[in-house]
Order: sequence, then structure tokens, then C-alpha cells
Amino acid sequence: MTLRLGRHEFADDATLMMAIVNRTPDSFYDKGATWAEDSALDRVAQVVDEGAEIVDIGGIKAAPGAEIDATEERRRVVDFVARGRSAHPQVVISVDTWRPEVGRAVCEAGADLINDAWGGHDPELAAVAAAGDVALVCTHTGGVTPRTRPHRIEYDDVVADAIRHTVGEAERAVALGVDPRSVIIDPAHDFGKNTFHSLEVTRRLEEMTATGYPVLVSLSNKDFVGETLDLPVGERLTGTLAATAISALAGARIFRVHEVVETRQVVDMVWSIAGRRPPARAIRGLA
Amino acid sequence: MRLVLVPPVPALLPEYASLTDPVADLRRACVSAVRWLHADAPTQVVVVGGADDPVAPRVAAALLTSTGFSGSGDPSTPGDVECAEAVLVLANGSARRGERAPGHFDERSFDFDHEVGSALKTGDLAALEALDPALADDLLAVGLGELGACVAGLRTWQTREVLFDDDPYGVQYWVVTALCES
Repeated sequence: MTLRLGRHEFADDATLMMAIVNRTPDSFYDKGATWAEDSALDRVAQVVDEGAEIVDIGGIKAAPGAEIDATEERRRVVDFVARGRSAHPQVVISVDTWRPEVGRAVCEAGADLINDAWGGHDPELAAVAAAGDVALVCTHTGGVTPRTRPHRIEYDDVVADAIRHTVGEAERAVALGVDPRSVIIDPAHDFGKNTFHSLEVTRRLEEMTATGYPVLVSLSNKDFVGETLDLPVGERLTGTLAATAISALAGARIFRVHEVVETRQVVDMVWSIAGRRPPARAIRGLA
Repeated sequence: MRLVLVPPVPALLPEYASLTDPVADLRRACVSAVRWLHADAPTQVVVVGGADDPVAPRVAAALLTSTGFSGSGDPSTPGDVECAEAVLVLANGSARRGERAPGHFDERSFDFDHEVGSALKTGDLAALEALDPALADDLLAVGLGELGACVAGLRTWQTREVLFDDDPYGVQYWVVTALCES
């Protein structure tokens, strides 16, 4: 089925790079590098140039920290969405939020996609996506409250729980009027999960892609990579790309990333190994 | 009879397609020539080539299919060519035309390919029959022995167009269309 993200449509075998653009002073990876609006706009131009099909704009870091209310979140992202939309009309604009009032405002400003990274914490967000005729990412967080770390969360079967929750949310979104071509599911590595859970979700990702919903994975430089390799933030790219390769082989379609170029190469390579993408230009032994 | 010569290049096969076609110009020339070959809708195209190159019949089949030929494309047996309406020959020159060529470099390539190319362009049947098979093997040229056997049954060869004459990957390719009489 064609994937429709707001104004944009993609073939059912296309893979997409979703580049992270933080409108925060304190996100774990870039530590505020794009806090200034012009810096963030430069980051958008850079990732578009690198080939990203989607930019995912976030106004609040995922980790616990100072309270950011809806007014401040809107101040950080709404005008920026409009600026991004107008500067890069060919790019899908996504906003990472759990708040319906922010979702409504960014839809009006030109967003194509709401990334509900906190797993349907506010059930009204799906209705906002329907009303705005934008796409929606349905994620699995084990039901945790936004901006909390997992603490002693256990699952009978983490993958089964992720599928049950994300598919349930996807079906609910469609029932509320979200275009069935515009619903994405995301197991949400590290969210409501310890490292063993995230590794298992990666290992068994094919069970999620088998649902038929396009699967988004957000692996980039996360703690499960850091804990697995005992590496700090800043030294996790290789581990991230290994997890990316496994996820691509399992059929993940959208990759939420800090490093667009490296991830694109890995995904293209894996897609070709899997026989889903021809080589760019092969003549060796064929002349 | 209509006769077309194309090179049996594996990169022309659909199973070896790339995102960017490395043989786009050659493919255009082959498609144009093969379209002309069966423009009068013959019931059969006789395919010459493949004795020394198992890819050749696959390339022939792929070109006939992609150009919409719905009749049969059969490998030649002795005597076929004389009574054929359409003949598709798969052959190429030296694959040793440079340091980066598949067979590396052999300076004899240039005289050999010049001789073959001239004969194809002028319809010199005697020259095509008299090509040195040992030298052709040395240079990794394919299909030329069968071409020689094929033209032995022809009285005339009038070259219509040379649509391709180049060695983009160190292998000499020709795409030639001709009207022949047996």
C-alpha cells in the first residue's frame, strides 16, 4: 500500500530517513546545538541536502528535566514548522509531541506527520491527526508517563505487548478517521524498556513488520546501544548502524536518525542484499 | 531477410538491472535494432550465438520479449539461416581492450576488432568467414565463429545501419542491422 504522509506519497517499498531536529537546549545527543532557530533551520537544510525525506521536529527532550508547558512547546515548534514548510516544501515535516493542542497548532502550520512518541498518552492526539489529515506514528512505551525513565518494567512478552498496543492504537486511529495509508507503528526502543527489551524487539522486529503496518525504528545513539557496547553518547554510531541493518533486514521502513548519510548507506545496502532494491550501478562481470 | 547483430552483454538482462543503467546507450541501440528485426512480424526469429556463451540465448530472449516479439525465438540449427525471415546474431569483439577491461590488455585487440568492424560495415562475407578462431578465443571475443558459419549460407549482406560501435568497458560492441539474401 502507498504510504501517505500528509502532502507526500511514497511507494510501498520505499525506505525513508527521518532526521531528528531538536528545538531544545538540552537533548542528549546534540546538547542544544540547534536551540537557536536559525541553527535549527540550518540543520534542516543540511539533512535535506543529505537526502532525508522527513524531518522530525521536537520541542521537548525525552529525558526528565525542567517542566515545559504547552505554551512553551508551541513557541518552540509551531513557527518553526511553518518556516521549514516554506523553505523545504518537498520534505515531510513531522512533529514529535504527545500534546493534542500542540498537534493542532502544527497541523495548521503545515506539518504532515505527528510522531506520538509517548505511545498515545493522550488519546485525543489521534483525533487531532484525523482532523488535520496528517499521518500518525503509534508507538509502544509500556504505558509510561511522558518524560519518565523505565524503572523495573517487566513484560510477559515485550514484542507481543508492542504489537498489541501499536496495532490497537493504529486501528483506533483509523476508526477516528486517520487515512489507513498514513498510520505507522514504532516499537520505541528504550521507551518503557530496559536494554534487554530493546535488544529483543530488534531481534524479533520481523514480527512487527509482519503486521503489514509500516514500521518506524528510532535507534539512533540510544542507551540500549550504549549499554550493549559500554560506550558513551558520541561513540554509538557503529552500534546504531548494526541495529539499523538488522531492522532494515526485518523490513523496517522509516529510520529516525541523527546521521542521515551513514544510515541511508546501511539501509540501501541491506535493502539490496534482501533483493528489494537493485544496485546503484553494476557492471562488474557483466560487460 | 533481416539480420541484426547485438553483443550478448549480461548487463542487458532484466535480472541484472541497476538503478542507473550502465549500458543505457547500448540498450537503446539493441532495442531499436531488434524492433526493426521483427517489424514485419515474422513467425520465427532464428538466434545465432550461444555455442561458446550460455548468456547469449538469454540476452536474445530478453531483447525479443522487451521489444514485444510474440513469435518463437529459436536457436539456429544448420540450414536454418538460409530460409529464415529474421536472424538475430549475438557476438562481440575483444574483451581485452584496456588495463581495466575484463581480460586486461592485449594489443592485438585493435587490429582484430578493426577487421571485424570493417567487415560488418561493408558486408564483407569472405572476411567474416575467414576470422581467426584461435585469436578470437584469445581475445575473449564471442559468437564470431557462429557468425562466420551463418554468413557462409548467405549470398549478400547489405549493411543498413551501425547503431553502436564502441568499447565502453574495454569490450568491443557492435549493433548492426543488415538486409541479406541467401
